[in-house]
Amino acid sequence: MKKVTRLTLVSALIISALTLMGVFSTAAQEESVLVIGFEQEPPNLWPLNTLTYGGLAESFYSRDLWDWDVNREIYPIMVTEIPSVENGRIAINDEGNTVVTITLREGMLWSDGMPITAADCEIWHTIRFDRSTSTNVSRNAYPDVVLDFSIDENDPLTFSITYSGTFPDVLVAPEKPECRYPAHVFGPMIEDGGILEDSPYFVGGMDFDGLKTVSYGPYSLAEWNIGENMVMVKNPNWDGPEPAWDRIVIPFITDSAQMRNALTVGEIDVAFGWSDNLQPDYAAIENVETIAIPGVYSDALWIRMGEIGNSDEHGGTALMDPRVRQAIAHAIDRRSLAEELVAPGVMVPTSWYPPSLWPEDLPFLEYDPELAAQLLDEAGWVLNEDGIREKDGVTLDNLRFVTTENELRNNYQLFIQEYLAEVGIGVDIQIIPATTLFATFSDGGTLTNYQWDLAIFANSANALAPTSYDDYKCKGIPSPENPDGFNPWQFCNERYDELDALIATTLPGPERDALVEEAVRLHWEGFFWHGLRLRATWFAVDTTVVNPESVANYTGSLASNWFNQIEYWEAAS
Amino acid sequence: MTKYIIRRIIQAIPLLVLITILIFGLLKLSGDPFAAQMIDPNVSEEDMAYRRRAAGLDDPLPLQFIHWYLGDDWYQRDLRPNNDPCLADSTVVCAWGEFDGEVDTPGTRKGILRGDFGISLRFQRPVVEVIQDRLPNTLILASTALTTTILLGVAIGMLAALRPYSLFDNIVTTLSFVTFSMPIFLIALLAVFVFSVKFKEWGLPYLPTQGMYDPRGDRSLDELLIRLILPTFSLAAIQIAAYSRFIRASMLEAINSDYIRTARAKGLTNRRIVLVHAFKNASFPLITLVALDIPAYLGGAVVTETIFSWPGMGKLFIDSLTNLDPPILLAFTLLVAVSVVFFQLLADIVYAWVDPRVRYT
Repeated sequence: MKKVTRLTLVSALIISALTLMGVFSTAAQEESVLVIGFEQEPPNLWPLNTLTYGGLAESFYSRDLWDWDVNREIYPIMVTEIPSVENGRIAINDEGNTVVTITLREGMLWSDGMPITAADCEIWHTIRFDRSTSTNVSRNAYPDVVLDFSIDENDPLTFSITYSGTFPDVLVAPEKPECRYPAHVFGPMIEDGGILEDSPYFVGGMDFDGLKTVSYGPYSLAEWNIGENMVMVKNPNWDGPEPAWDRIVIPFITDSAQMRNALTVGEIDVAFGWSDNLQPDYAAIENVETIAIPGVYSDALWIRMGEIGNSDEHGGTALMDPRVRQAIAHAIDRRSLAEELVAPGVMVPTSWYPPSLWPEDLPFLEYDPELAAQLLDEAGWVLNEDGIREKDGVTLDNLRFVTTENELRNNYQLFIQEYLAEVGIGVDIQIIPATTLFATFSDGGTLTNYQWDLAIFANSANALAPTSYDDYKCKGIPSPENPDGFNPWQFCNERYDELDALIATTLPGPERDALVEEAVRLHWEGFFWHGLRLRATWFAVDTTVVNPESVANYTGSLASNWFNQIEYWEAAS
Repeated sequence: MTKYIIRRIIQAIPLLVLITILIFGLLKLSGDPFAAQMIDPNVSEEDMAYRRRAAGLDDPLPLQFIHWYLGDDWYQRDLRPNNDPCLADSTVVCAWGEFDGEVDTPGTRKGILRGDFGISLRFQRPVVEVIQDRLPNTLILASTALTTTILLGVAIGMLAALRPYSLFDNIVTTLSFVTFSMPIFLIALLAVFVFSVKFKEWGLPYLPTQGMYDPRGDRSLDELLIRLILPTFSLAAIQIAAYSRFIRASMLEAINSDYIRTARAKGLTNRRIVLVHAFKNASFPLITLVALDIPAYLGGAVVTETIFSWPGMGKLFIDSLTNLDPPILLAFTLLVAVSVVFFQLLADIVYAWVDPRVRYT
């Protein structure tokens, strides 16, 4: 039996030795490495992959002609200047079509050292335009809206794309000009009748050779160990600011608790994209700072403002009166709720439109219960002896207040219920599965069948273009004749519809800006959308490795461009 | 014996076919894989229609099953797009998505009987390649966990049986029940919390929390060994508890048998009695346990691999299930089913080899 005991002891010693080995081997590294944990592994890296993690991975090694910073300000990357009407690079030709002229910067090189020219942009145009080159490319409406592509005969760095009709959002639309992939890699393959699916460029695995991922960006994708990690190395041919780290390793850590553990023990330096409720946990980790980057989705309180769905049981016509809808906003301390329920510093939006489009004097409906009471009184909804607002025998004590199963939203419901009770409005809280709440009219959706009065959920605005959706147009109101419509709040304003059509056909400039401002005001004056919080993308950074200020200042705020300025991130001093 | 083996193999074939039919049917019931998996929402409907047809999803269900088995390179579909005007004249609206009506494009799959398990919808790579990437990682973890389980389970079980109701036995019994009643994810997360997070906090050498290699390292063997410890511990803890209880019970039974009393009467040393006579007989049923565990390990430890970000079969399975990747799921299920049948057969053969009382006809 002594042998068994000895065996156990030896095993314990081996394990201890290995533990020490691991700890010490971790410490002895010279190359600078930044480790960023991804909660998901991209399934593949197909071109214009709009799946979040595919786009995020790509943002390390591939740059666009231009991009948007943390404040959603556009800045040039591969072009000499951003095309605009003023500089003549966006113009309407004699046929009434939009022509965009782009000149690439001189001296740019792909990661394999080959020069970047307009021919590279042409190959990408061909792939997007000709559907037979791949069935796996996000083309959107490119083949339908693009009429022509031509390279300047005298300048191999200048090219023009002609879009059908007036195409004002040419810089921000998914069909915008791109030069993402090198002609010398894909050209011969396409010319030989091959398709992109044959290329090893986009897939990882045992035979993956990262060097084939020829790209233009601060890093190159060197390794992709499927299921495990991606490794980016500095691109020697990058002519932009030199990144602070030689290598970036991206391990895929799908378990959220393990992501925090990995950050705690220093295995990763950056964790991002985690949910709001984890902020205290991340903030509590030693040497870790949390940063909120404003996102594109806003959680809001929606009000059914139209006639359809009214009943005396649920407040009669009260919500059709804009004063009542405005009073509801003033009755709720939305800023405090965001601070207490979400996290300090969370933005409460004024309008559904992105902040860059808000007129400077667009007011935020601040918490003011006295003003709320006054507005309700003016609307004829006065307090009865039970402390409930009442008008013509109809009481405001049973408004249907719906949302999905979501802890944060359910907490919001409870607090809002209390705030509204203080001004004499009673609500009936209902928690409804998302599949039922958002279902179409014909599928019995709660919203689309008008079985609600107040609701909490998120709906993203177009983060860059000022165009709106049918969700705010008269033709979007769901009905048996329009079963797919999704304007259950019934915001219907003919001028707004007209404005949106004009915005979609007016080139950028003062005239368009005025149209946009008017549209934003009309939307705001509907008082059917009261922002609760602008959802943020959270980052947790190890301050011994990364300067957190550089992360806060150089991070994209769109859906998948969060690492689009990684070359500006600074190492901790 | 040979006849027995051949008979068992023949018997296994309809069983495997039945299993594949069941799994195939269940996966089909789970919906459209192109709609369910993480396909780029901006890929046009026309392109999706093409991909769906090219993947054979427009074929009748029985034909899809036959294609999975026998391939579709002998079968032709209408796959040529009717898009000539689109290419010739950019002002003509493309008619992509309308096929040209000619059933003249043969399939490319060879079928599982010829070793082709299809293309993963998610990874856009042959399933065999995807599994080749993952299986070695699972084998590393599984073999380490199984070896640890057998060594420690047997050792602890024997020691407990030799000193029944002693302090050691009572401690082992208590720990076994505690471990056995804990879900594996709890064991894994507790282990990480103590041996990684807390050890670091206390200034002690600490173990890595996840991954197969150090992200900052050079993928060396010592990195792998150190990162094997916690997943192995999590996987083996419950099994050690089970094995030790099992060995303890069968050893106690063996030690109190007549043939052991006879051995003692003949004056054999205690060591020889325990290790040769008692343990040999007590360990026969262990063969069944191990034979059942190996296929389970081969299938990957879904929870352990997910928590520890171990890029093995278990993680592949859960990712494929989440993203509904039928080619991977079908291949995975078949692999596990074949290994269950194979290792059960192997267990029967080993039984006959080690226990002269067992004879198969």
